[in-house]
Formats: sequence, C-alpha cells, structure tokens
Amino acid sequence: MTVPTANVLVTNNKDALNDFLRRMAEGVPIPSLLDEINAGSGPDATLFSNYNNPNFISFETATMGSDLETKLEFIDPKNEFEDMFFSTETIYDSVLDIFRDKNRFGGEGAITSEDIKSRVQSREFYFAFGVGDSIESWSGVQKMFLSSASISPAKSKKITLKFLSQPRPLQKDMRVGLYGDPLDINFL
Amino acid sequence: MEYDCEGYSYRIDFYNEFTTGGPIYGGQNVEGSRPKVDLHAIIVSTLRDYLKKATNGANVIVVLPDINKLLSSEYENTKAENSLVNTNSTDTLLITISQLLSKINLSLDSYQVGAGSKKGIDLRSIAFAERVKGRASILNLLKDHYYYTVYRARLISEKQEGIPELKKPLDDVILGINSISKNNRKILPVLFSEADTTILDYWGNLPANFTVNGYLPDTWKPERPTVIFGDVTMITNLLYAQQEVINNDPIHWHEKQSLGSTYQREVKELFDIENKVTPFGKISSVPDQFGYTDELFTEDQLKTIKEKKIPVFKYNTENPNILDITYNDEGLYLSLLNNFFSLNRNRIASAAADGGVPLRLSDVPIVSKEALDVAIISSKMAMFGPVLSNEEIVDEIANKISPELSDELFPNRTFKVKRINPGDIRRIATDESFRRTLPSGDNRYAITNYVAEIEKRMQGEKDGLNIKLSQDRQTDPKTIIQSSVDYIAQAAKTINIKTLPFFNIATRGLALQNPCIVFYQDAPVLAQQRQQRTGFNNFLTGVYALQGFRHKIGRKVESEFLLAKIDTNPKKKPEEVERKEGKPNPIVPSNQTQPVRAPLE
Repeated sequence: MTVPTANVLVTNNKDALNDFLRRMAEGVPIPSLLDEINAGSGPDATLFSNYNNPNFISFETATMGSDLETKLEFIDPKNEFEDMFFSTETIYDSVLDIFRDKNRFGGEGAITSEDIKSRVQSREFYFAFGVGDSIESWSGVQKMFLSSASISPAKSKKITLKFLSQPRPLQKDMRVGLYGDPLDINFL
Repeated sequence: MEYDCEGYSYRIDFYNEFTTGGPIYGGQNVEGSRPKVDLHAIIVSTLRDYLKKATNGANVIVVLPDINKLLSSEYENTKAENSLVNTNSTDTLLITISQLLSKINLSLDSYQVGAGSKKGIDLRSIAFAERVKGRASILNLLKDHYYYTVYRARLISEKQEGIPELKKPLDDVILGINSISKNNRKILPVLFSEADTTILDYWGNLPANFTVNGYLPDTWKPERPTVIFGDVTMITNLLYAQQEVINNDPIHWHEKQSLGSTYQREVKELFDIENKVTPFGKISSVPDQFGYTDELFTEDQLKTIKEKKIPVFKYNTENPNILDITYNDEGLYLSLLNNFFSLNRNRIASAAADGGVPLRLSDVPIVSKEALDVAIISSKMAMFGPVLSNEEIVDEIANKISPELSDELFPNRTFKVKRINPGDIRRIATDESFRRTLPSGDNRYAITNYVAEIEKRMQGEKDGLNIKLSQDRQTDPKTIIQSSVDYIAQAAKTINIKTLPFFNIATRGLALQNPCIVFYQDAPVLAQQRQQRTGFNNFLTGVYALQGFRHKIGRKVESEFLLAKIDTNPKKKPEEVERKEGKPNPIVPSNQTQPVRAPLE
C-alpha cells in the first residue's frame, strides 16, 4: 500500500521546477527527479525540499482576506540555509558594476538613480507543492518574493521565511514592520 | 497632507476635438470603432499608471466593465447642463469631463507646454471675448490654448502621519463610479497579485495590444510581480475565462478585442486537466447518500459539475473530504430563527367569540369595538377566501353589529344601510373636500366613515421596507432588489472549511468567486442510524463562491477554504423523494431514500 506524502519544493529556477512537474506527470519517481535537479550546481538546484528532510517543520500558503502570505519553517543545524539562500553579492557590488561598465564601455548620459534602482530587485523564488506523485494533486509553480526572515538561535536554530507574491502590498495594514508597526516602505 | 503616489492618464486630446471633432483619447491608430469620449480608457489608464508606480513597476492588469456604459446617463446629463451655459462644444466637453472625474475621486490635471505666452488663459474670459470680439481671432486663441495645454486625468494618494494610504484611492474611484452610475451593474472591486506561473507565463507571451500589457508593446516584465485590479466578475469570467460572459454584461471594446474567443479558449486549456482525480477522490463527485440528491441536481447540472470540475466538499457523507467546518453567521440564520408567525389559539378564539373574524365567516354578532376593527381589517386582508370590497364590508357590518355596540359607536342612529356608491370609502379616506360634501348625520355614511377611518389608519401604519428607486434606473426593481439581497447574503453568510489537501486549487484568480458545492450532514451520533436531514443541514448545503484558500504541510496536511453562500433561498422543497414505479432511482437505491424535511416552514 502506498501512502501519498505531501511535498514542497523551493528553487530559484522556474524552468527546472516546471520540468520537474512535467516529468513527474510522465511517471518519473520523485526521488530520482530530486537527485537529477540537485546533481548540477547553481540555479537549478533546489533551495529547499522537505523530501526526506528531517529539518522541515511546516509550510503554509494562504490567500484569504488580508492574509496573503507563504511561510516556510525549518531548522538549520548544519548552516545549509546560508549556503543556499544568501546572495553572493551586495547592493554595493551591483552599483560598482554599473560604474565599472560605464568606465569600461562609456555610454551616453550620467548614471541615474533609476539605473541603480533597476539593479535593486527582490529575488524571485519558485514554489511547488502537492500530495503524492499525481500532477493533479500539485499546485502550479508559484512565484514569490522573500518578505521577511526570522531566526530563532535557541537550540537547533529555527528559521522562518515569509514570502509574498507582491513585495510591496498596497494595503496599509500589510505594510508593517517586524513588530506590526505601520511602515513607510516607499523609500526606495 | 502629503502626496505619496500619483497616477496619470495619457493626454486627453481636446485639441483634436476642437480642430477635427474626433476622439479625445487613445490616438488615431487604434483599430475598431470607439466613442468620441472614452471615459473607460481614461480611467483605466490612470488606474494602471497609479498601480504601476505604487508597486514600483509591477505588471499591472486592470479589468473593469465598460465605464462608458455605466456612466452614460451621468455623462449625458452633465453635458446637457453644461451646454446650456457654454457656447463652445470643446469647452463644454472639458468641463463635463472635469466634473465627472471629480465625482469619482479623480481630477483633471493640466499643464502648459511650448509657447510661454499662451499660458494661463482663462476659459471664461475666452468665452466672453468670443461674444464681444471678432470670431476668427478668438478661435485661433482657443486653438492655441488646447494645443499648448496638456490635460490628463489624475489619481493621487495621501500620506497620513507619514504612512502611505495607497489602496484607499482605488476603492474611492470604484465607490464613486458605483454611486453615480444609473446602471444596475455595480463594480465589486478586488486587488490581488497572481503567483501562478502557469497563467503568468501565458500573459507574458501575449503580443502587444492586450489588456494584460496595457495595450502596449514590451511592457510585460517577467521578473516583476503581477498585480490585478478590477471587478471580480469580469476578472473571473474574462481574464481567467472561467464562465461564459453574460451577453448584457457591459464589456469595453478593448477587452472584447483582446480577451476574445481565442484568448478564452487558450486560457481554459491552461487549467483544463481531463479526469481530474486526486488521491482523495474525484474533485467533482457528488455524494450518493442523500435521498434528495437526484432531486437537487438534474442530469444536465450533474454533467455541468463534472465538465466544469466544480469542487464538491462533503461533510459527514460517504467519502467525505471536509475535516472541520465553521459557520460564520452575521445574523442571517439568527434572523431566520427569530422571524416567525405566532399562533395563539386562545387569542383567536376570544376574538372569534366577539365576532372579530372576517365578516363573511362571522356567524356571531360583533360585540366590541376591538372585534369590529379586527373584522374590518381581516376582511380587507383576508388570508382565506377573497378580500371583501368596501361596499360589502359596510353591508356586512350593518347586518352583524350588535345593538349594544352600535349604540355605543353610533348613538341615535339606525342601520338599515342602502347600498353605497362604489369608491366612496376610498374617497372619504383620502379626499378631504369630498368628505365635506357629505351630509352630516346621514346613517348611510356613518359606517362608511368608520371603515374609512380604519383604512386611513392602515395606510398610515404600513410597516415595511420602503426602497425609493430613481426613475432613470436602467433596470427593473426586482433585479435591483435581487442583486442587493444576493450581495448582502454573500457578505453575511460565509463558512470556513478544513479539508483534505486540494493543493491543485492554488491559482489566486481562480479562487475568486469561483463556484463550489458543499454538502452538509449532521454527524451520525445515534449509532447505526442515518440522520434525518435538518433545517440547518439544508441551510448550509448549497452552492458557494470560493473566497480564499490556505494550504498547510506540517504535522497536519490539509487545505482550508473560505466560502460565501450564493444561494440566498434558505428553504428547500418540502417534497418527499418519490419512488418511481418500475423506474428505479439511478443514483440512490430506493430503500435508502430519506424524506426531505422543509427546514423553516
């Protein structure tokens, strides 16, 4: 007897996740698909999977009234989270690149704040979740942006990541700080 | 007050109207016929620009019913009023649009370009000058004015105590449109961001001139989030192609072109998976336990449920998929419990003994004033048999009133009433001058006066809901009332259900108002006995609209849905399931059928 299990996958690569779902629909077992997707390095690798993952605590996604959040909770005893999620370059590196390009290749006009803003973008994450290996019980690939991360360092370092499909929500009650305080996030 | 975000339409081209009489918005190179004043395009492009800025460059889709049609009466009326005081048609148009925009919480913004000497022209001065000077020069002056002045619709948000209020201006615009529209079609606004790449990728690959890219080329940025604003019905039916568009639903020509049949077919195919079977059963299987199942749905309806893959949620039935259910009552069920007709036999018996029953039924003398009043009123509002006419009432009273009561009410009068003229009662009740013409002390009119007073009191004491409707409403009162009741019911009657995982329902646009069906049955607390259906069972069972979802993977794996009731009729048919001779029930074995009880009769 086979008991369907629930799975959630997070990647940086939409095409890799779409390919995962397409091949799962064709009957390829999930473990071998995960092995394949993680075999290469770089963006194709899964950032997170709860499959055979003892660090996974919970996943929740909601579109209900003003609750529009996706939340992922896990522990990170081996510090894998930092390796997988952290960006390798800072905003300063990115801005410096613009100046380097300008010096190297020239170009018309001065570097504007719009040029710099265009480099400052929220990172995209792609989610898929479902039950068993039947495509009909899986969601489509969902595009999300990280909105907050909280780390509880006690014991096994519990990490809670929150994602939004729209990183700049318009509703006043959704533009809040860590402690629920109203926030002006139009400064960028 | 600090402005936070500003959205603008493109240029509203009054110069074009002044020189050629052509359209004032949208340029000349758009295919298809379009109105001279395309308010819809002006408002939608303003909303889109505002949202784009408020979201820092997200992909923005705005889908609204044709505002030109919703505001046609208001536009024509405003224009007619302005044309009385303005001789210049362009001037009239400009003021009309400015006034209309201000009524829906937008404004007409203007600034000067080019020749500085043409700045600051007062239109009223120009109108005056037109009357007192030579015509050719003033026309040139106006021409220059419209050429060098850029007019745009404008939407702004304000900061309150440093916190931006970005959503409210959008709601205010819709509120304004709904309040001045004479059309029965009201906009139910919704703002959300779509995350499902299935539909996002499709939109990203569409060519220019589509609703999704603002009818422009190269505006879709696949790396950006996507925000959708508009009317929930239009978004569900048109943008997500979930239901056939109702013929009389006003659709702007832009949407007719870009979201036409090809778009509808392709989007339907995106979400169409044949024979959708989850590990927990078919998504649209109907429970076969209920005795009334075959009565509730016709064969065609069952076929539709399967074809459209309408989710069916079942609680305490065979093969249930609801784990828990929470009913959020805002007074609807309570009001049904609270409103009833009292049956007081003693009171009725007492009244009957005094003669206080409809006059035609009464076979005892009427002995008290209260009984006479009851007899008159019940004869005019009879629940049994035909209502008596006023003339018949007067005749019956004269025959059945007791001598003691007649002496008390009408001293020194005899009651051998001749037949009175038809219509006199009503005229006495309403027409003061007619009353004065009647001869005082005439027995013939004594009872007539009394009945008239009763009728007058009944008119004054009429209790109930009075809704005044403007004569220029473009639909019938029944439709208006029905849509109001539906809206109130949806707001008042929602349920939360926790179900087995339905992770396939994860596209946000598809979770807006999409229909689903809930079957509710009491838990079988009496062992081995199937519960009879109760009023509450029937009250919760029915067609709902999906309002939201939550999916959880953790210690428990489950889905949660917020549903709003669509069916506003709390009563189910009180008939029993019929066992058809020689024609067994195709779904329910006849030995399992249960009588259906009327819940709230």
